Amino acid sequence: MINFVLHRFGQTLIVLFGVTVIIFFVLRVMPGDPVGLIFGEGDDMDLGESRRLYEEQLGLDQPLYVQYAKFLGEISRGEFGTSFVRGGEPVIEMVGRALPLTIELSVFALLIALAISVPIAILSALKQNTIWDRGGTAFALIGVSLPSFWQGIMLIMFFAVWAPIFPVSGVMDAHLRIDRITGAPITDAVLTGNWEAAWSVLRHMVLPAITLGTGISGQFVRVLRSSLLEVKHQDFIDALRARGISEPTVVRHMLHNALPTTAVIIGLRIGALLSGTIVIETVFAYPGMGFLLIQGINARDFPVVQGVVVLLTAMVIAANLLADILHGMLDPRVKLSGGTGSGA
Amino acid sequence: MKGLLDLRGRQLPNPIVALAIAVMVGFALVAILAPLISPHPPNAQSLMLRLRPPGTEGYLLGTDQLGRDVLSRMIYGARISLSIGVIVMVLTAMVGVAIGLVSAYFGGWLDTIIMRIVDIWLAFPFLVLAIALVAVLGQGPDKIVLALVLSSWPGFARPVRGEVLQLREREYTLSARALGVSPFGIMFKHLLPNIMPTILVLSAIDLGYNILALASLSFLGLGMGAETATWGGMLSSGRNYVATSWWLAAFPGVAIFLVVMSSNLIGDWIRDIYDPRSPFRAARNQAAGEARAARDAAAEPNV
Repeated sequence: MINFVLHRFGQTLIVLFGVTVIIFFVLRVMPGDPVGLIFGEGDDMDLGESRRLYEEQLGLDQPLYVQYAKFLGEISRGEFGTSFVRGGEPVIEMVGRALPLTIELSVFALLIALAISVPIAILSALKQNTIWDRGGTAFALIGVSLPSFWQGIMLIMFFAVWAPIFPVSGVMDAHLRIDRITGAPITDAVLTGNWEAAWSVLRHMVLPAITLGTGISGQFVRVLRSSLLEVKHQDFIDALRARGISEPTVVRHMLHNALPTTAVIIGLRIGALLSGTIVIETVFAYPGMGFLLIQGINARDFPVVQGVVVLLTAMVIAANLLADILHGMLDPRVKLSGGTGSGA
Repeated sequence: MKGLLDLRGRQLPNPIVALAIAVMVGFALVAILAPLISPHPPNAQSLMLRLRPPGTEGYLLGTDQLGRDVLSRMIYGARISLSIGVIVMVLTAMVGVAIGLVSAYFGGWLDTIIMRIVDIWLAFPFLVLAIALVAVLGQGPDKIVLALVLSSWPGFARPVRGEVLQLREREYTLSARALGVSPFGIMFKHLLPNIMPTILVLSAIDLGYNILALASLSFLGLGMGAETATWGGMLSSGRNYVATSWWLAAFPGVAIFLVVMSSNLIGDWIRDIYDPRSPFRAARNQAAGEARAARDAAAEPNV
């Protein structure tokens, strides 16, 4: 087990290194002239001096490998520079505000996805080839095909405009304040006993979380259903039934065996979940990481874009690593195969 | 390899798949015939006829905030969506298949390096990478295509490699090699036709993802520029009028949904026809296979 974990850790370090190289090249080298991008080309004003200062500040006058080493050093210390736009606010502080919001939204969405997909997948697998199964499969198909931003807008239309049950955008009602502890609004509100704010935040989060959650639950249903089907036809399930074990207990055994795959899928879907938040946060004007990223791009606020991309990717890699290790712990067969690299 | 692409006699599409194919053909025809069937030019504004509801005389699906015909813009939007979707699909398939083929066929250190790069690439959340690329490349169709191909080629490379690894040791490959056929001859004459089913399935599903990704990018304002009629762009401006003019956001979303679902259905259908146990099938009973299949599933962008 230790070996397996170390092996996966080593692989993750390689991936992390590669990812920083790609981000470095995409964001620092490819635009050719990031400074020109910031100042705008063909500008009439004489910006020669400030251009040179910026280039020096970004270290663009040095050779590539020096720039890369500097870049690596900076991001590993969490120094993402300062925003070009918002009065030079450090990027790490902006991200620090946005990240807890995104994490809380993602967790909420994940819970919704599980609450929807687990029962549907069980029903679908147990009653294979019946109308229930068809319904479950159709749900999964619709879930993966529905454009999440459209679903979000339609939810706004139904539940915020036509039947004003939920708020349209933002984190909470404007007059409320939450004392900051972790930065995650519901957590902080509960910790400080500020129930009115907690309720408000929860209501603001319902529509975006449902939108995100139904989107990924389509994937979950597909995976959990097919791993349940694999388990369903194995001998030990027949043996359990033959011994007269009650059906709920049999289902519990099936779930127990289908769990490792599902856990891995959930870990690996974190990337999709975070990708989803970018779009959904824009739909609901929810000031998390995605919102920050899009604002940064529109304002050409380059350090913000870089900080968000680096952090989001690092989170996905960490989630993948955790998922793999969890898989190894839940399923003893994994260790024998010596890691789960890009194998044949 | 005769008849590999011949679907007849294998499995006739069930009614739902037939419907999906009809939907795709329908949208393709609309895209091709756009200038002929579109009732108005897509950017023709009429300030007297702003935000008219569907059913207004001459404006079947209503007009937007600038008095442009929603139906006409959707027809031209189909053009953009399908053409970019298909171009990206073809280019991604070519790049990904070539890399996967070469990696598996030559094996050794080359394979190790390529697969490490694939691992690294797949570590990125698909949309985050695409957004970052568009952000530095700028707007416009060519840049969108480049960004999407660059962020999605590993989705082809990895499954293709897995399949070629198995075919590489088959008798016909070995005998071709013994007969002195060049590596590229073997790859393109003998291996490529045999992985065609895999490529077809991946392509069909990829088309849906491309259209969804393009719509997401346009929705985020990172697509084709504000002038061009895109489904995602229409949705984005429709969001601001959701309280008063529901049709602006509703119709383009339906179009995206129909096209994406159809391409998913067609992809699933082709997969079931050819090989129910193909390597990208979601869950396999081998533990190692599970993680790999899981990662392949995770490689599917979800936007």
